[in-house]
Amino acid sequence: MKMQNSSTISEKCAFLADYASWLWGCGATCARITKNTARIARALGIDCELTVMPSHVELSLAGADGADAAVYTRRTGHSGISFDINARLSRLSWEIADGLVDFPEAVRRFDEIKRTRPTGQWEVLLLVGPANAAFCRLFGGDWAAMLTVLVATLAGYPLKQTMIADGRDLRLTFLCAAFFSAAISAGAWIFGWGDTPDIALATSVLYLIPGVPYINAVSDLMAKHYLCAFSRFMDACVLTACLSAGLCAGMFILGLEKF
Amino acid sequence: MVQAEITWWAIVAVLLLAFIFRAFERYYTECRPAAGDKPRRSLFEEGEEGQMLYVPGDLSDEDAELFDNL
Repeated sequence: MKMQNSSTISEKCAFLADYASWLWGCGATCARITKNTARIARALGIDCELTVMPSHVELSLAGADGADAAVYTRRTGHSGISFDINARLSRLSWEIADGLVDFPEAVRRFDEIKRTRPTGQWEVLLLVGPANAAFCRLFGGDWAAMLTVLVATLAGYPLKQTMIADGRDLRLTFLCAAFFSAAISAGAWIFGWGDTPDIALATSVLYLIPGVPYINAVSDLMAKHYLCAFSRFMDACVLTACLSAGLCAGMFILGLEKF
Repeated sequence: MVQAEITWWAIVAVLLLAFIFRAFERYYTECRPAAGDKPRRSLFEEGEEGQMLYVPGDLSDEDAELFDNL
C-alpha cells in the first residue's frame, strides 16, 4: 500500500515537472510557471517547491518523514513560443484546481496539448507580411514604403522559416533574414520608390525583433527571478545584435551611406 | 547609383535562386518516391566540431558509444 501511494506521488511530481518545463518552453513567464504549478500541486495534495532556472526546472518534494523526499529535474524548451499551448496549459491548471478533471484525465489532456500542431507556416507568413507593413505605416511610411516592407517581409520570413526548419543556427538565421529583408527594402532608396524609403528600410526587419523574450525578461525581473530575466534578456539581445548586423551588412553592401 | 542597382539585383537574384533551389530539392526528396529513400544531401552543410578540431586518436561518437558499452 505504501509502495502504491509512493508511486502515485512520484507520477504526480513527474507530471508537475513536465508541466512546468512545457510552460517554460512555450514562452510563459516565471510567475505564471510557479503559480500554475503551485495551483495544480495544491489540487493534487502535493507539498513541493519549484525552482525555475534558465535551462531546466526542478521540483523538490519534501515528504513528512523524509521517506518520499525527491527532486525531479526537467530540461526546458520543447515547443518554441506558442500562445496556444500556453493558454491551454493554463486552462488545464484551472480545470484541475476546480476539480473538473481528475489526475488520469489531466495526464491525458496534457499529452494531447503536447501534440498541438504549430500554426501553419503559410498562414503565419500571410499574417506577418501585412502586420509588418502596418508597422511601417505606424511609423509614418507611405503606401510605397508599406508595399516595399510587405515584399521584404514576404522574402525574408520564408528564409527564416526554412533555415529554422533545417535546424540552422538561430543567430545565423536572424542575420541572413535581416540582411535580405534590409537589402530588398533598400530598393525603395535606390530606385526612388515613395517619399519615405528610410522608414521602409528601418521597419523591414521589425518582424525579427524577439519581443516575447524581452517582455518576459521584464516580467521575470519584476517577479525577482533575476537569473531567468537575465538569461532571456541576453538571448534577446544576441538575436537583436544579429539582426542589426544583417541590417548594417545590407546597408553597407548597397552603399547606403546616408543612414 | 548604378553599382547599387546592380548589387540590389544580384542580392534579389541570390535569394530567388535559393528559394528555387530549395523548392527543387524539396520536390526531389519528398515528391518523388524513389528519391525519398535516398539520404538527403545539401549543397551547403554545417560541419561538426570533431571535423574541425580532430586530433588523430580521437574517438568518434559511434566509437565512444561502443567503448562505453564494452
